[in-house]
Amino acid sequence: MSLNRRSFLASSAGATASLAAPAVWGASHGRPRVVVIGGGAGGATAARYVAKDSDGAIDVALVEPTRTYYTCFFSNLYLGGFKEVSDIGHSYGTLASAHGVNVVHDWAVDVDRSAKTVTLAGGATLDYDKLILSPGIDFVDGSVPGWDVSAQNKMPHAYKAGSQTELLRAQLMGMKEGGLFIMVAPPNPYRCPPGPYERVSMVAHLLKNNNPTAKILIADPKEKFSKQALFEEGWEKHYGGMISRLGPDFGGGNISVDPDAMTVDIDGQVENADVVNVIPAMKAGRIADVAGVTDGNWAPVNAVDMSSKADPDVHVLGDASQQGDMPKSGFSANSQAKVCANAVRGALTGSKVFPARFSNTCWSLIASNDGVKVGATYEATPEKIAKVDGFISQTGEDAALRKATYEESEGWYAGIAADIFG
Amino acid sequence: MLRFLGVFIPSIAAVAVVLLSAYMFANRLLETVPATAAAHMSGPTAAQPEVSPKEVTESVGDAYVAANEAAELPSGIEEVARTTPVSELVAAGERAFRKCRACHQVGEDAKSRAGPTLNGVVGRVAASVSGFNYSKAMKAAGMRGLIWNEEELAGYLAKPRVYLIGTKMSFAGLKSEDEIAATIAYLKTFSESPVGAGDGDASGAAPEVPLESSVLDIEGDPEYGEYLSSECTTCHQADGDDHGIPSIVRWAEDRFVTVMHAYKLGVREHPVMNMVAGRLGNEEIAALAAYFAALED
Repeated sequence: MSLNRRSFLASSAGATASLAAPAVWGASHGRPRVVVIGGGAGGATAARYVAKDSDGAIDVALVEPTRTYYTCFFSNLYLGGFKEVSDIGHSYGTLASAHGVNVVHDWAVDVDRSAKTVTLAGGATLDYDKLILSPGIDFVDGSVPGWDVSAQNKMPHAYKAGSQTELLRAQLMGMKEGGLFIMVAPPNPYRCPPGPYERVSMVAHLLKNNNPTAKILIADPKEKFSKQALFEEGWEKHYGGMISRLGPDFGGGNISVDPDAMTVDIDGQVENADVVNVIPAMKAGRIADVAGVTDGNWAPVNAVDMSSKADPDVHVLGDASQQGDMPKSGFSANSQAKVCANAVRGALTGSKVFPARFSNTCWSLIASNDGVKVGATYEATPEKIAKVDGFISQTGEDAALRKATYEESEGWYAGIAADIFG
Repeated sequence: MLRFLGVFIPSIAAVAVVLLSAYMFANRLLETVPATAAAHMSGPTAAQPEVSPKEVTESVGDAYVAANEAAELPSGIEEVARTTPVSELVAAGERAFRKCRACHQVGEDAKSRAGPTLNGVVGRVAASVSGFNYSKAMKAAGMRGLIWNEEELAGYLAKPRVYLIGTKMSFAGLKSEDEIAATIAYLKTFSESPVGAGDGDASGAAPEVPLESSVLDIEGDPEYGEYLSSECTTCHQADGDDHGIPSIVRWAEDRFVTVMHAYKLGVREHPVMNMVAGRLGNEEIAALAAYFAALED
């Protein structure tokens, strides 16, 4: 079926619309309109699936300010030297050319849910029948005292991939011999639960080769973290003595920073650091708040179709949503986007709506050819997205299995990138 | 190349064949040159000549010849097999097999060297000798259910690198149908339960789980399969690219269903696949099989 879509779409998108509605309305006004805000793993997937599977019957606009999207997933591998920054950059050309998505490079600054319009920073207004918000995360102001966005060049967060990630790598490469890298880890819930710890692994890998006497200190407000046993085993094995972690029992939750002095105050103890990675507490990307669909830091949704609990014509995907048991990950956002796209299409064109099913797998790299993974499947219940079944890599696995897991993660990256961006 | 063009240009169809051959060859070159280089480094095949520009030119012609002859090859082999006494065939096959011995062992204590051991090769699934590092192309062929029956072996032995683009086997091929028939007859003597020229039905030859015909006969709904497939395409690429994760497009439906049930029941082990398949019902597996089988580029 999908084989003919590309050529079909390219030649006759307009014709399809004029069959569906009287020609006098004009093609573009005859088609139902979907506006997607945010071109990451959730938004770009949703835009692609709605456009692709509706064969041009739905007008899809994707609002995303950046021309090249750098995935957060695999950005740690760039820090570790396993990837080039270009390997994690993706453009939106295929969404436009193969699927007919109207890619609008602008910021969405306002949503009027009663008028069903989105206002862009450039001044234009987009009308929608269904709005899909996938804005990712923003940081909670003041969550790490002393740090704000004006300090992000001194103490990068590198938790929205791109220039920040490149900056952090440059700082690590230039770190003085035997220097100290401090990571201020975020409290739950946050984007990519194993992400900070994979990052520590990749930084350790980089330093082990370039600066072997350097040290890594994690200040962590959480008692435990994702894949903890696997990471700790790997750190001991590959980077013995290089990495220390202070959990809440040792003041890891009582942190302030002074970016000018390059110091981190951990429960009253001031540490001089050479490179500091501050990953603040997170909340839904701001437009979700502006649209009035958040409750606290996140946007509650109905599991069955990812629609906002505040508005059935607004859907919220990925990190910004408060959906239940799924971790905030690119894989989750991609999975949720497909359920959402199926529901949106059904509502707008009467296409068959299949039951929601969700899944997630997160691979992490601990060292060269030492990959681990955790995954689960989920279902929609009236209350939330609920976990059904799951698995996790085991400690003590042999090297061949860990290598295969890493190679699998490479395959997954190629797969999901194609699934998101076309 | 000029000679080649001179012969084939007269008809438009032939030009199309030339272009197809060139395309096949270009693909093959991309796939096989690194593999060949790897084989050179690994030792036993070091005697294989480098790919030279001359061979490159001639290979385009080979591709044409192979494509043209493919339909006739098996019947020719059958003819040889039918008219020659078995003992003579096997003896001739043993002689022909000398060309293979640099890389392949058969018989007692046979081990995989540069190539896998060929004990039991007739009738087995491609890329199924455990521990042997097959090319991606060969693994993919095994995954989609290629069985080394006599017909497939005959095609492969005639022009390995044309028959299976991307194979690591850097061998030009056996020249005559007699030699091919004899080699297969010889190899059959090392196969415990040799399978005759079968229909290539992988599920029959390599049952991973015994499935009721009522399960295999479910007619999948491709539309439902398309929806369900979005769970698969997060990792398995819809265009059939395989990079760290196998391709699942264009498999025979029975094969797809059999493999998915093997994951569902834990006969095949892989945590992600066990999890994903574990919650798929029979109808859903059939729907996926129908959808992916029909998917094209």
